[in-house]
Amino acid sequence: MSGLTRDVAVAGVGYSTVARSGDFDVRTLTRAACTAAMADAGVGPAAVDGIVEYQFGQGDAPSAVGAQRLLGIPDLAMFNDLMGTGPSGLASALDAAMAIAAGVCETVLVYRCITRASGHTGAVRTGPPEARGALQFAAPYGYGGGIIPAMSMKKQRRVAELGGSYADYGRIAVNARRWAALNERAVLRDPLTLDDYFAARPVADPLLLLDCDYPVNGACAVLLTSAERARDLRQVPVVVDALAYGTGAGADWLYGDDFLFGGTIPCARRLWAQASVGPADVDVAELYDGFTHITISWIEALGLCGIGEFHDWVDDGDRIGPGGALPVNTSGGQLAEGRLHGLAFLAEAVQQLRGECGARQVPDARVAVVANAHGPQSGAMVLVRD
Amino acid sequence: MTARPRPVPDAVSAAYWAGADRGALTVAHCDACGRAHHPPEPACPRCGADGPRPRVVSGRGTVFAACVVRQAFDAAFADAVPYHLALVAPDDAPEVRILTNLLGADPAEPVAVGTPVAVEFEPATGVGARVDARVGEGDGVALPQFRVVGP
Repeated sequence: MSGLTRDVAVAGVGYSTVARSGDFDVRTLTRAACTAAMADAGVGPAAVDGIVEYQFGQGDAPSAVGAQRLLGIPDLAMFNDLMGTGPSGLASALDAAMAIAAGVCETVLVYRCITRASGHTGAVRTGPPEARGALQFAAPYGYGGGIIPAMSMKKQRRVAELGGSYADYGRIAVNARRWAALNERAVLRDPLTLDDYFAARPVADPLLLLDCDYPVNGACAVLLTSAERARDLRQVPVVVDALAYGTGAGADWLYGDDFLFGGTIPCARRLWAQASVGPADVDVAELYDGFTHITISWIEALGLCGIGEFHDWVDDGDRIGPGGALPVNTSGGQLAEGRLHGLAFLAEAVQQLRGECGARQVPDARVAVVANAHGPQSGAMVLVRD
Repeated sequence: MTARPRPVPDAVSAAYWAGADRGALTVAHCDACGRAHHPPEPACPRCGADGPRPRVVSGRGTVFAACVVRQAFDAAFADAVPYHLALVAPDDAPEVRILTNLLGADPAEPVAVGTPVAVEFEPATGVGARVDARVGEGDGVALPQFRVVGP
């Protein structure tokens, strides 16, 4: 029994092809992922009565009603297009779960289609010569690249304030490749050593290239429905045990009160207050890794180890790797599977709890925690096998 | 070379840039809760009270966090890399962070957290690259920049 007013479950997951390059079309990618998720659940378009999608608004994805047309869905009882200030792709599933729990709709398809070009903050841009709004305090100083400088400064400040070392960040990058080697869907499957990590090009010192995720073209879709309905469908239901958001006071990537953790700590507190399980029960953790700092924050915020204890806890990295006591980012995450922008962490958690991950399967996984984004955009979900 | 972006004051930020233009660094201060914030907002982001007012601070502070940008993100700064970006906590408003470049420091590595800095004001814009001409009378384009004053 979850804290929601009606139990909600994930009934299907699906992916398009995921690739670094080559021809692609966002409608084709979205349709492929959504069709796969519906087939996984064993439902057709007429069974779907809600669509929620998350995008940057840069031509990276069709709108919800655009997807409705792509899929031949007769009518939508609920739909929403979420833009880039929420908890990444997981935001779509959080929204869907609440709508289902509220009884507004029953079966919701959510997706994140993303292209390598969209949100590709590493590119050199020519901005307007006049910096207005929030930009007036940033652009004149050469602050660009989205949150890249912010994430670099968080990395520097964390080690200065809480201890540990930059090698802790490298453990996250190395771990991603260890898991990706076991995931045929992953784009970067070659092993990585700590030496390789430290040899990577600095983007904004101390942030290294391998602290950043790997942009791809692809889509991921998840089908959520009432737990009652899910029990009549094709797969073992994976129940949404709890969900939560967090922003923190002063909510901002640079100026928020909690510079190191953003909203992850209040989000985690709400999550566990609602959940029927606790951090000690987690069998597998799928934690956002758009930047390595984010994964470390979530591990500590969620109480998987204490605040500031990641360095000692992670040790040589085996704890979070294949065969470890607490497997983290078992798909290789966005660092190695490719940047599907959040929703794929949920899809991977579901597949782990259903026991269908083959070489990378965590034995007898029953409880998963999924977290997305950081700063003023934090969101998380606990899932349990029915 | 692409022109570097110039701050354009608005109703909320006008006092900040006007202060900078006459050589005064200000932070927005809330009389209701007693806390300061930056950048200036129309209401206090900590308590929601109306009418935060600019308060002049000494301009001395310490590095809260820093990095060295090595890959240009904005074409206007392509010739500036590597350069420092930092958040500075003013000594007399330590809850505030001000984004700045750091002058007088080797860009070989980031400046350490806690390093003392002091403000100065740079006409127009740009990572220690001084531009002689102000953009226009009353535009308030003097840019606060912090210089490392010692270890």
